[in-house]
Amino acid sequence: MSFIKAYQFSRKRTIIHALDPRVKLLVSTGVAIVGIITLDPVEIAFLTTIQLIILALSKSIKLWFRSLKALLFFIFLIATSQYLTTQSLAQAIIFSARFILITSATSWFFYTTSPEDLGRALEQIGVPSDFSLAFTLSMRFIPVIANEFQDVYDAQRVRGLNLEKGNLIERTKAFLPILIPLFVEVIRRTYEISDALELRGYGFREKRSHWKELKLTTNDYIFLVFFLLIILVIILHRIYYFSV
Amino acid sequence: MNLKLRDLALVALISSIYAIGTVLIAPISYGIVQARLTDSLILLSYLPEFGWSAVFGVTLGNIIANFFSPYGLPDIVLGTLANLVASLSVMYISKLKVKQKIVIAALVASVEIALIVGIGLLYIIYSVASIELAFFSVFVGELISVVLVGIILIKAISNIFRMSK
Repeated sequence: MSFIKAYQFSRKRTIIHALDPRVKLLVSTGVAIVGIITLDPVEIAFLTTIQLIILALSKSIKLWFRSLKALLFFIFLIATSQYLTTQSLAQAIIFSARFILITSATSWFFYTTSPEDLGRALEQIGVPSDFSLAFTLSMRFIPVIANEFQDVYDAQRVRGLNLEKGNLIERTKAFLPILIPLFVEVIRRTYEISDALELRGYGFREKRSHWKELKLTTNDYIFLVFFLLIILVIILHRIYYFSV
Repeated sequence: MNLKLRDLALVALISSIYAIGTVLIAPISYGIVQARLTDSLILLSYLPEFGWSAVFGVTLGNIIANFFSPYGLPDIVLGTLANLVASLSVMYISKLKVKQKIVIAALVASVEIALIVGIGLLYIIYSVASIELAFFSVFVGELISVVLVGIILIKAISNIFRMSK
C-alpha cells in the first residue's frame, strides 16, 4: 500500500530532526500564526527565507519542492481570484506567497518529527493522557487497519465483487461488503486493546511514568532564542511600519 | 471489563479508519473541490452504540488525516473544528423525536462543514474564491459523502447491531 509512504517523515540525522518536538511544535505553529495574520510582503519574504534555511538544515528541500508542485493548481486559483477581484498583480503575488509560507510551516514540522515524538510532546505539554494515548494508538493502528482493509478487499474481489460497475449509488453500495467486515473486525479489536491496556495497568495511577522523558538541550535553547529574535524583528518592523 | 478503556480503543480505531480512508483517496479529500468520502463516518455518532467515541474518533481522525493536508495548520484546526461540531450535532439530532432524523442530521452536518471549511478556510483565510463558490464547492462534496454515502453506511451498520442482538 503506497499511501502509507505518503507520510512524509523520514529519519535523518540532522540538527532539526534532533530538536525537541515541543520546540519545533511551538516554532512551526508560531510561524503559521504570524503567516495567517500578516499581509506584509517584507514579513512574508523574511519568514519564508527563514523556513528555507530550516528546510535546508533538515535536508528536506527536495521533499518541499515536490509538495509545492502538488499545490501549483491551488496557488494558481488563489492568484487568479485575487487578481480578478482586486485587479492588482502585487495582491495576487502576496496572497500566493502567504499561502506557501503557512503551508511550509506545517510541512517542515512533519518532515522532521516522528509520530512517536509528537505523541510524547503532546503528553508532556499537558494534553490529557487519554487523548495523547488515543492519538498514539491511532497512529500505531494505521498500518494494521490498512492491511486489514487490503485483506478484506482481496477476499471480496476473489468472491467476485466488482467496484467499477453501475451508477454512483450502486458503486457506493458495492463498498459495503468491504466496510462491514472491516467494522466488525474493528469492534472485535477494541476488546483486545482494552484488555491489553488494563493488563498493563493503564489508568491505575493518576500520573503515568515515561520510558523516555523529553529534555531541552543547548540546541533547543539556541533555536528558541533564534525564534524569539525573529518575532522581535517582526514586532519592531511593525512598530516602524506603522509609525512612518 | 473496563468500558472506559474500550471507548478509548474505539476512538483510536475509528480515527485510524478515518485517517487511512482520507489519505487513500487523497487528491479528492483536500482542497477546493473536495468529496471527502470518509466524512460519511461523521454520521457514526448517530448510532447509540458509538456515540461519544465516534465524535472523538472522527475529530482525532481529522487531525491525523490533515497532517497530510497540503493546506497546513489552518486546515488542521478548522477541519477538526468542523468535524467536532458536525458529529456533535449529529449525536444531538439522533436524540430528538422527529421523522427522518438521519437525513436532517446529515444535511445539518454538511452545512456546518461547508460553513467552517468552505467559508472559514477557503474564503476567509486563503481567500481563494468568492464566498458563494467556496461554500457550494465544499457543500456539494459533503452532500455526496455525508448524505449519500453516510446514510447508506449507517443503515448497513445499524443492521449488524440489530442482527447481533
